[in-house]
Amino acid sequence: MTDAVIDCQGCSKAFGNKHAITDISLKVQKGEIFAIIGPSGAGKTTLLRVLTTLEPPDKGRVRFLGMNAYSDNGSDQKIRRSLGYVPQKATMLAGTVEDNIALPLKTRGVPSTEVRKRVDEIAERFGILEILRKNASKVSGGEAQRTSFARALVFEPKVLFLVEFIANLDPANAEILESVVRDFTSKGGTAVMVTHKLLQVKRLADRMAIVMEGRLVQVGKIKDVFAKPKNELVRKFVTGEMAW
Amino acid sequence: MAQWSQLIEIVLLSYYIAGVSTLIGSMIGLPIGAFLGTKRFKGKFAIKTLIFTFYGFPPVVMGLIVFLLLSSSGPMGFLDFLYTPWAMIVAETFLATPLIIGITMTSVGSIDHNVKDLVRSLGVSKARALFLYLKEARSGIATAVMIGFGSCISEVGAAMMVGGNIEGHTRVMTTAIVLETRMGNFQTAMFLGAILLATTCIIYLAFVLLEGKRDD
Amino acid sequence: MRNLRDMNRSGALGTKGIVIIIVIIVVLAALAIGTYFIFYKEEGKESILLATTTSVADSGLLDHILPTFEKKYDIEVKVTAVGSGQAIELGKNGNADVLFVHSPTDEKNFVSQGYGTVRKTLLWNTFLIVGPTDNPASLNATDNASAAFTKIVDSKSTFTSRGDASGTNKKELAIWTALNKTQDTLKATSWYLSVGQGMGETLTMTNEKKAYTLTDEATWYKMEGSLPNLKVYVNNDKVLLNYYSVIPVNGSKFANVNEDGAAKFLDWMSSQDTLNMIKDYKVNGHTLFQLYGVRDGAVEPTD
Repeated sequence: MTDAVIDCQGCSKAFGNKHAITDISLKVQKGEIFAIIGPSGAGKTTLLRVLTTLEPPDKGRVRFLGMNAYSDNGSDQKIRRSLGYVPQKATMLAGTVEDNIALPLKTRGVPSTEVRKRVDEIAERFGILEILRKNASKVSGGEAQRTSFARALVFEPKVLFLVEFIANLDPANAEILESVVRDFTSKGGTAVMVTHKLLQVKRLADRMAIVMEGRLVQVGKIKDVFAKPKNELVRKFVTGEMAW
Repeated sequence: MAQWSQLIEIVLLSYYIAGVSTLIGSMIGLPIGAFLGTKRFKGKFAIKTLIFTFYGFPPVVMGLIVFLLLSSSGPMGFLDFLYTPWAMIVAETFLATPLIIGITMTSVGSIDHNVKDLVRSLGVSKARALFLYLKEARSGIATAVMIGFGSCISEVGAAMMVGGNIEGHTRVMTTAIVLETRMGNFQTAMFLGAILLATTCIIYLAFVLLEGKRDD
Repeated sequence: MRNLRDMNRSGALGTKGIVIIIVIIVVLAALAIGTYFIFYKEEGKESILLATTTSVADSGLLDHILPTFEKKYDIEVKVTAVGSGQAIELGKNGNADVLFVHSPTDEKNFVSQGYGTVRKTLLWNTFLIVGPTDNPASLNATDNASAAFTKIVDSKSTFTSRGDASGTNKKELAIWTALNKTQDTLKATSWYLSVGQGMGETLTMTNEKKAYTLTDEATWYKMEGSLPNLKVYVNNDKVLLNYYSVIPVNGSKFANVNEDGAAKFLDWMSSQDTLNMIKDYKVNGHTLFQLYGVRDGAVEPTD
């Protein structure tokens, strides 16, 4: 049987008349870095929200770590506690940078000395140790992004969801975060990233899914997709002729 | 009404009654408002409209309703609340709570949806999530409490009706002003009015200062 | 760097968080203390609720005499001042223990319908017809009440009515009725103003509008100083006699009524010592309340 960490079967979601995603099925395996790419408006965000239990699909089902999502037995909460979410827009909660990073640990009842230690460790790793005491709403875009990342990682999730996670970063910090993702998956974590950066997909991802107009156009290992793009638009993307 | 001790008693009682009413109204209104602000459910539109309607609920009508409830010949007469500060607290709590619910609901409802997604994705308990929403909407909530308090401290019609303006027991600044005006003692009435304004101003000043320091 | 940061840390809260928590604790403590005090005040001592009219309360009479009662019986008298109509309603619903009002017809009905145990008329004074100093209706001191009211109608001079079913209002309407004028026809005119207020507010309004009105003596003498545009015109018509009675509420239907305390209050009010105290109570040199049934040169009232 597959080791599928995420198993999405025939998922569709419409908002009024607009069909955001239609009949998408994909599996994400443990330990891999899975990229979801597509032009803007393709439905990537909706797909991601469906996969992270934030948006119940109209049709289809999602299984996460062997549990059924969107069932009423409280499994959604268990699922959410195993996933780390780094949204595209780094959203800071009220308080300091430290408060933000510490939050997932505090809600898991980690004792405060332990919290402090782990927050310091991860902040140092991401180069934001000096701004821990700063009001989170007042930091720069790049600092917020790294804080958001640290917050998603600090409690050692099983799956990391990343949406355009190096958008606001200079190359040095981008490289640090990418190496963190690699390190994370090498230790058994799974990463799902939504991106439009061709080179990042090549650098990082193991498998990718291409979503266009709400449908899954192609899914497979990176070199397979690059070698045999399913249609003209995909070909233009993988050759770099067209940017998404 | 010339003694200073009477004046102090009236001032303290006014703040006690308004304070307790606001406190109870907040304990009820903040969680309900946060819940209503974030959950999608059937009939939400109807409930929202109902709450907003209560913003304009005439205090004197509320006073009458509470009076009839607490009257000896009324359903809650056994409480023996009428003409005591407890009756005034009941009436003022009923007036303040819809305001607190409504303003909290609106503030929490207008939290950035990215924040809401983030909180949800953390997988915290419902209670903890509500608490986080309240934290995010902190200034809206402070407003809700302040407005709730304002409606209590300035209340006169309902306070008069269910309290009876009894000296030493249920006379507060507003009802005392009515009394002095009725007797033609306009200077005394103005004096009381000035004290009411000044003391309330101090309380709001404290609120604003505490709130303002948030942005370090 | 890390040491510096540790030094700046003040726990999870920060100074501002600590200030807020201290404020909250202080406020909660204050409210708790307040609750204790108020609870003690409300429950601690035996009390009776006296429903009376604004004219009695505002005259200052009760402030003058009640301390004696409270000391003697160790019962606190809580006074609520409402119109006679409302006072009687309070009695009917068991929300007051004893009434001290001046609306004879309603009072008699109150007792005969079983709401009150007994009606004891103790005091009287007289209503006054007051009006503007320039006297557009040309009232004379020799006019009786009907004559004065007739002159007011004929001259269409502004007249303010309390319009609140109080004892004063009922007396005023009785005079109009004797002249075949109903309240509705009066309200339809432009010069008759039904204001729905207590005596003090009505007098203030009458002063502002330089109008005529019917007032009780007590309120008039108390407020005279702040009513420069008004003076007394008619004050000695038998029709204008105003009787004050004490009526303990019949508590048989209600658990909360303190019949015992009310009975004691009536006893004490009827006692000669108390009545003397009331007779001696003067405001600005005027005796506000005469003793019922006493002849000492005053017009002897009959009910």
